[in-house]
Amino acid sequence: MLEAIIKRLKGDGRGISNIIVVMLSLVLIVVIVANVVLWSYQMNQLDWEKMQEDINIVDVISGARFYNPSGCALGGSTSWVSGGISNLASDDNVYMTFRSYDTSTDTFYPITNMNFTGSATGWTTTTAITAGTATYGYDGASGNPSPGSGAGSYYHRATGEAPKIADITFTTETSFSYTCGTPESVFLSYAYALSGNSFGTGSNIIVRLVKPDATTVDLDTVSLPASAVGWTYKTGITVSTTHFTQSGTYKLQVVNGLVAGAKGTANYIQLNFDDIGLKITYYNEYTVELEFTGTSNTESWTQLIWTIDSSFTAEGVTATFQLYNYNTSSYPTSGDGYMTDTIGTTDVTKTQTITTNPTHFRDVSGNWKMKVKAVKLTNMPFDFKADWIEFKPAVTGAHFIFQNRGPLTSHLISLWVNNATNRQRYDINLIVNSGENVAYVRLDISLSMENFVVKVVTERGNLAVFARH
Amino acid sequence: MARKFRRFFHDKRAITPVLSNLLLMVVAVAAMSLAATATYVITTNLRETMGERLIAEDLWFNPSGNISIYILNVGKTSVQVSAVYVNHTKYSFTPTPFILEIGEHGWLNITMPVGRSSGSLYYVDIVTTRGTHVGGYYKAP
Repeated sequence: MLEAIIKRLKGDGRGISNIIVVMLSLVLIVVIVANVVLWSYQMNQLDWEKMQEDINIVDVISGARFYNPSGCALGGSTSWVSGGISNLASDDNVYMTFRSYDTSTDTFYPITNMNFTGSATGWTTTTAITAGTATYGYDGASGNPSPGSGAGSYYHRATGEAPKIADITFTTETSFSYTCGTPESVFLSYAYALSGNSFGTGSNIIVRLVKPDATTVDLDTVSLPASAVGWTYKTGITVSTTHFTQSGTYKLQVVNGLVAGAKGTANYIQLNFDDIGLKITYYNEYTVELEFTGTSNTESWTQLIWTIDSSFTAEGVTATFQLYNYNTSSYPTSGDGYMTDTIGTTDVTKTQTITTNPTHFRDVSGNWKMKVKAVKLTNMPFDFKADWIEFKPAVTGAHFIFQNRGPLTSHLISLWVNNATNRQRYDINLIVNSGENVAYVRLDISLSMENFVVKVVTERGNLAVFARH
Repeated sequence: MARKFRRFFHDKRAITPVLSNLLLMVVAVAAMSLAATATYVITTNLRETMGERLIAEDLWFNPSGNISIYILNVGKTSVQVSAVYVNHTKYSFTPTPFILEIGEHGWLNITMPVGRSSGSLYYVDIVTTRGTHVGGYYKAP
């Protein structure tokens, strides 16, 4: 059988030729198809990679970038009054306002002649006589003994009439000025002694305060017995500070009702008082303490300009502005990062340029913080009005931050910087791995214009655009 | 031996098959060469057509009233721009011929005979000699 087939093939030359032709044709077709398929595969691969590529321009930093605070912490008992952190973005007379708090006190004895040492200057008396004769004034012989001031006091004497028992109300007063705001504390002290030869019932002492608006408040009351009373020294009587919220002229009154025990011109009752005074402890210093915080970038700064524009609701406030130095972990007390001035009610712009180690004033993440402390020796709280706070680091050239968000490594080949009048292409050669952020610095590019468009082109033909307007 | 040689030279019948075989070989080789050349040409054309990629890096409505496009060849073969259409109207361009080798880039300036209007949308279409289109809408500033 096999021999028959071989014999036939050998004898039939046309069959072999056909097979060879068919085989060669198939080879040619396979070559063509293989080329097409392989090339198509390659180009599809290229297109697929292009689609997968995802490059992004995160930021473009050129010249100086400015940052405003993003947070604020109150120091001490400083309180927020109005405005928001967004009001600090520009010098527009729209403020973020804070109220100062008291940080120091002083003591004030407003009654100038409280010990009656030598006279009764400053004190005046009026009387309301029901019956009897009133005499009053300085008594140099009697006074509050030690620990009091000794001899010298003021007296009220009610002397009876032949047909009537003495009954007189004395009002002795002195005035003083107080303009120091609500005080921290007020204490009253005074000494009194009751003498005479005829004591009735109903005698009393009222120490009264007359406010600038003429309203009155009784600070202390003593009901006197129908008998003599030796010198009694009352000290440390607490007076409510709310009685001193007004500014102006106050009066301290000793309202003394004296009632004798028997008729007759020889019968009298006498009250002496001495060492009568007020001890007012008031706030004499107010302070504002604040710490503003913000973010920036982590580029290689060549200089840092920081600015604060502010004013107060009082004149002559000593303000200190400090920028935290992360290298020394402290707020500077002089030199770079430290500014001070006396500022009043008009906005003052304080600015400082730091050219030595400007990066010391940020942390590794670009965060910064600024401390404001304003102090004034005053009796009244004042407000700090922050108008504009700016933290402006500057870099040389232009810094571009590229981000590869795709799964493939990108090769950046060109960079465009365009504005309304100019288009500029720069050849670059930068590899950005997948998931990487890469900072690219070009010292020969200066983005001084405010509006620009930056484009970056990858080798695969993708573009990323960053616009600032 | 001598008889064999004499017989070979006197036998005329063998010439025809030899000639015919030689002729067939020449024809076959020629046909195969033709086929191989055709294959090469066909595959090269296909490859070049398939491998053509170009992008417009930037388009600038320049102050002179013309449009400039920066073209980058990101494909696997050189490209030659054959025509440029703005809003489906063909315009001349410079330089001519505009040829970019692999990885090359350059400005293609479209000469606009009539001024463009600000804020208008323009569809710019660039066509290569192999028929590849690169186009897009651009708003004039």
